[in-house]
Amino acid sequence: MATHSVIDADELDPGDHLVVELEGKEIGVYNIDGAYYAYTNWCAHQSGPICEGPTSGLLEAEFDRDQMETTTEYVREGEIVACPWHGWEFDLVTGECHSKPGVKLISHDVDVEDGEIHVTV
Amino acid sequence: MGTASTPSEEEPMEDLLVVDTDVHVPEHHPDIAEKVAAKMEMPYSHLLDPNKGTGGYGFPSSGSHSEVPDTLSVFGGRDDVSSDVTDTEAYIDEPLREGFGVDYPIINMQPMWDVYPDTEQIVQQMPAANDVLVEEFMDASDDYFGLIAVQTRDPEAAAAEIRRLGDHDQLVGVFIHPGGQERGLGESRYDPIWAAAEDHGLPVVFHTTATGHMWDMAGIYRTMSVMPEIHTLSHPFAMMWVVTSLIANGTPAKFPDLEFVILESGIGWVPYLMSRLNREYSTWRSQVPLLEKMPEEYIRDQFYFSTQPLGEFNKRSHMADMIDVLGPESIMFSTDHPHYDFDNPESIRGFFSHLPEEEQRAVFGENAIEVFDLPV
Repeated sequence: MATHSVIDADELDPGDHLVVELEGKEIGVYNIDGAYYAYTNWCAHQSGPICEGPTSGLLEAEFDRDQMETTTEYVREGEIVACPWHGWEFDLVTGECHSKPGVKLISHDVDVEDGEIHVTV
Repeated sequence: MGTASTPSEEEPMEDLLVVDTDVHVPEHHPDIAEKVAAKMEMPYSHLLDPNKGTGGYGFPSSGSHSEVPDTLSVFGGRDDVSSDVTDTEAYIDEPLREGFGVDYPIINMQPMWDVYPDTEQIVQQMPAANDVLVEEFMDASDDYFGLIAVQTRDPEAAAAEIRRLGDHDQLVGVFIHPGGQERGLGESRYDPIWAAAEDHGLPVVFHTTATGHMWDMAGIYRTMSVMPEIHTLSHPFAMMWVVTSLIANGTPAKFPDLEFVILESGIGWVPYLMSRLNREYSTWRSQVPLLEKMPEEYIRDQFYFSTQPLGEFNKRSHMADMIDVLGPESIMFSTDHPHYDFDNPESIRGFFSHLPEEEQRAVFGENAIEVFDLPV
């Protein structure tokens, strides 16, 4: 395990991410509302480059049994990444797959020290 | 290896309680059709009476049950027509209960109302037929159970019919014939039907027919010439559409206490569909936001599949593999009595012999007792 400085914190704005190579591995680093998350650029489905996929929100739906109506709400904009290969969605805060329980991205610890984002791989 | 049972002095299926989830008393049989017609208003009371009217149901060749070898008789109608269907001792008790060892038949009238063009006709025919089911069959034996048949073109009328009969002790589910619907059954227009069934604790049972499903897949069936083509695909195609439409529209999530039973389609297609739906769900999850778990979980939790016609691999153990993948908790026995492609319980029980006894009991009777909440 080694810790690497990847970028100055003020160069990665909320909503942005970058992919860096650390110890021969591609790592995606995300700023979500001022919190940082890092994942190996490897989709747990079929090894696609997950961190090159689009980020989006989550469409949630609720069925009102009395009114027999379904309402939808778009929430958590920017907190979901979809793999560019097959579209599998992962929660960037937890790393968990949104469809299949128990499937997770490989995550890495992220710290900010002296204004720099450090990732431990 | 064949599937024939060994002749024995013992009563068939003596050691297992057997619920047959698919027994037909076809409403197009002339004995029944005349009783149904008598409960309807003019012109239907005349038109639909096989002794007076055209003997048809809006299509000259779809439901006539006449001696003419029309499509229906080719597809099994001969079995229906040749017996005296309202003689329950000869039609049900002797062949099915004594002959096969079935303890409790769940009887349906296998109507294919959604293919008929006249909506007023089918809305009238629905309660008339269900009343005949009660009078001729439910009242004949406390050991008989039945399914409330509904058309789906007028969903509110279907829901009203479920509410009208839903508390009858022997009517234990709702029967729907996929085939002829205007839209996929998962669409919200059909929600009143699911709500009424769920409110009454009744599972919804789907059973198509080769003739009925042709209305949905006309382009494909037009290219088919022999029964091995048509009858191989009709039932599983119809049911793949039903299950997929319900899952894709979130119906099991909207009605979490509702259970669905698929009849006469065998089981081999189900593992395929589960795995493919899982894959599509993961790719397109945002388009099906009502789903809160994998499609496979909805299918395992809320869907049941009847055995007949059980597939026949060259290597017998492959069917055991299929049973294991689907799981005995999702499987219910059925004969399809009286049709030519029926399964004899003594003959097919061997396919389940690798299972522990309690799981064999589940398949042959107890799953159905639980899902249909049979008071036995």
